[in-house]
Amino acid sequence: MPFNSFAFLIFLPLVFAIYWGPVRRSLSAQNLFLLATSWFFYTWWDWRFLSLILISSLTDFIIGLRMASVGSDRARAMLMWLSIAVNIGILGAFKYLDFFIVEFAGLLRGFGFEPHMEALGLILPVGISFYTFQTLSYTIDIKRGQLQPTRDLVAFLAFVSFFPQLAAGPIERAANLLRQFTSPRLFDSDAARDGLRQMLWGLFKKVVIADGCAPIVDRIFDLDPGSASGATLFFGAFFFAFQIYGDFSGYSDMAIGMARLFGFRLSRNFAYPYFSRSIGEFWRRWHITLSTWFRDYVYIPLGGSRSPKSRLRNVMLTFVVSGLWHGANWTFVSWGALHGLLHSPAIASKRKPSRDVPGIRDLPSMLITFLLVTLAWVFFRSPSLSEACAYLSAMAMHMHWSPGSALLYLLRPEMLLIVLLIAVEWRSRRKLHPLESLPFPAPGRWTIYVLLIAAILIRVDLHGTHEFIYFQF
Amino acid sequence: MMDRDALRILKRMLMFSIVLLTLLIAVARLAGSRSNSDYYQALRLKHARLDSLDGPKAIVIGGSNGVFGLDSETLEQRLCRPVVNMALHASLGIEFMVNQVAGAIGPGDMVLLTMEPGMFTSESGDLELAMAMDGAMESWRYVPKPKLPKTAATFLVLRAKGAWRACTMTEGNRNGDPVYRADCFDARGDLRLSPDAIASGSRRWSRRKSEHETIKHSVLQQIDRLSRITVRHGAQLHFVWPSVANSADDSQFNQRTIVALAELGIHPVGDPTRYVFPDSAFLDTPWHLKPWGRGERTSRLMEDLCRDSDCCGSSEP
Repeated sequence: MPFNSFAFLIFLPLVFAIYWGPVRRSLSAQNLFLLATSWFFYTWWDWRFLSLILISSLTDFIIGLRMASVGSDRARAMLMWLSIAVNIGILGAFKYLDFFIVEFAGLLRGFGFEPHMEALGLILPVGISFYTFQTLSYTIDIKRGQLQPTRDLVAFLAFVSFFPQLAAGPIERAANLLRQFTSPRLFDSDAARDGLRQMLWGLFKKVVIADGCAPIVDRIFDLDPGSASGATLFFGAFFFAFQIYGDFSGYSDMAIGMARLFGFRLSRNFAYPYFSRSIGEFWRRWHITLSTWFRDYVYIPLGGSRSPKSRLRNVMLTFVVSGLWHGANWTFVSWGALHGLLHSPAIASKRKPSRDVPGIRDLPSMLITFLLVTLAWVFFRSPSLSEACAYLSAMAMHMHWSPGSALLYLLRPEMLLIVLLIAVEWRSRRKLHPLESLPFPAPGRWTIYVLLIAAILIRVDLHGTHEFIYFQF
Repeated sequence: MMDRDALRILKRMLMFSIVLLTLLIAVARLAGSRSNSDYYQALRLKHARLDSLDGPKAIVIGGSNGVFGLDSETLEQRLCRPVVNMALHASLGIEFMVNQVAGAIGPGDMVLLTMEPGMFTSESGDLELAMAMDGAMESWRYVPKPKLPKTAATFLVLRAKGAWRACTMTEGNRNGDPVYRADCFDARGDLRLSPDAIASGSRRWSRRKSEHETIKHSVLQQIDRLSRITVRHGAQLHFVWPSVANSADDSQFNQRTIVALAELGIHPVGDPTRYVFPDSAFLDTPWHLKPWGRGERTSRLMEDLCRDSDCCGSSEP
């Protein structure tokens, strides 16, 4: 059930009313209710894949308890590897099996064989890349001694299936979210109100920014790059940069805001990434829960930055695997590798990352970083590696930057909205979201809310619900 | 009992929603239909004709292949009864179409049902139902009940978007469409193409890949419902093949249709291959015949329909 659907408009208030109504006095009743509604939410897409969530959750719940009862570290390690095998096995089967079958068949054909191998055509279950990583982090943290396993099965199942973040994150750690399921929750008006504001901002980014850019991006990426001007191709990448940002950060804002309605605090997932001054900083601001997951469970186990020689290798490997996580296509692997390459100079120079809030003096480095990230997005958006390369080389070769072709895009309403978004987010870069603590009296604040809702209603595409991009991961 | 603070927030949200809804309804009423095409206003004309006909009549229902591809004047002469062409847009869905005519079917009537393959495999479109309401408000009565809330919401947003376009003067030419206009419909409900519309060249379409598409049980239920209504009122129901462009013809799906309809005791009229025409006979979709194709298709339909029965004689109640 997508957040930007009519059915969800009915679902959310009902769940809110019951959660803080009849079931509020009992923590276990609240958790059970949340679990039931989360499963209902998930089965709206496809009830068959609920079994995979159950398999992943039950496996790790049992493994977690077993880890606490076995004596030896070796036995705990084996249990952890069993958890990894099951979760990565499920993920691998549904997400990567067809890709590897096709690639392996291609490789055999390259050697002159004629294999009779066909892709299985498996459907990718919604959220599989997110909840498998979430449950994996649970068992790994127990193995590391950073977490005690829970005996509360309902709380654990609810932690894995929690509907605001089930489909596309944020990827939560048990230390943060599971703890909240096992602690009493009281209704916090301020948090709930701010959660609603964050949801409104997220919906605005999704419907007005992301879905507004989508037709332009689709049209440009459908063109033959050889016949398009460099300006057109550049703006295709530019609009895609904001489509994916509006789409994914919009979803995260809605998920985080929604969770606050129910007394939960989810992890921040986006921190104005297009104000980054370097690729390293970009990955501390974009899909934060994924990059920290890869840092803690891939980069550090590989050796991290223990030795200068291996640091570069570990960074590259982590970025490549992160790219592969996004999808079964060489374009995503290349996108990840490209980011690794772009980040490598900073690693090699051992430059300390910037931690302060970006200012206007950082404009040159922000623009360069944004440009590099935007060009890398071409790999992410293109259906194949050859098309991505053709797109970029055509962009470089057909640099017909006539004022006419640039103006064509600069004067579009979507560009005006992007400029507005940048201006608003720049002003709010110290806040969690732009609607937090607005410095206006109530009439002024409500005017802004009404204007945002009006913009959403005017810009919403009635031809169909644009699915969130990250649902395909 | 709900948490007091939570209840307060819920009440505020409910109040806000009511205010917003009231505003949208006001805008919808004041703005009126500001759609770029008044195609759906043809529903008013069709309903007026349906309501005006007493006694045995022929009713065409289905997708736009019926609008573009049947000559109701010829049908009237061969069937010896007045014809009303209720077909409009496939995405309105079979349930909406059956709801439109259910109360008007009487003894001696002949119902000609013509459905494109997509009508068998898809539900009605919320946007198309909302556009039907936008064009002819009374259409809300025919919207399937479970879909009514969402259709109504879509309708309100549609009107709000139209009002915005009007206020910002970004409406474009509201009567510029050469094809999809209410004033292109004749008195019987057929769409008569203007010379500008016919001038477009021929195209090719791709064959439908329908192997993985399922004929919806809900669609068959509605066809069965229509069949029962016609039997109950002493009328006849005939499934007629839609006209289709050669490059888009899907013979496998036609076979599946025959099997599915046979289970309902309905046997399509004639062979589907007789309603496959060259691509050049079609306008903008593989279902929309140009005038010469319309005449030929109607002629073939009459041959198939009246081969074994006296079409005129069956107009007696």
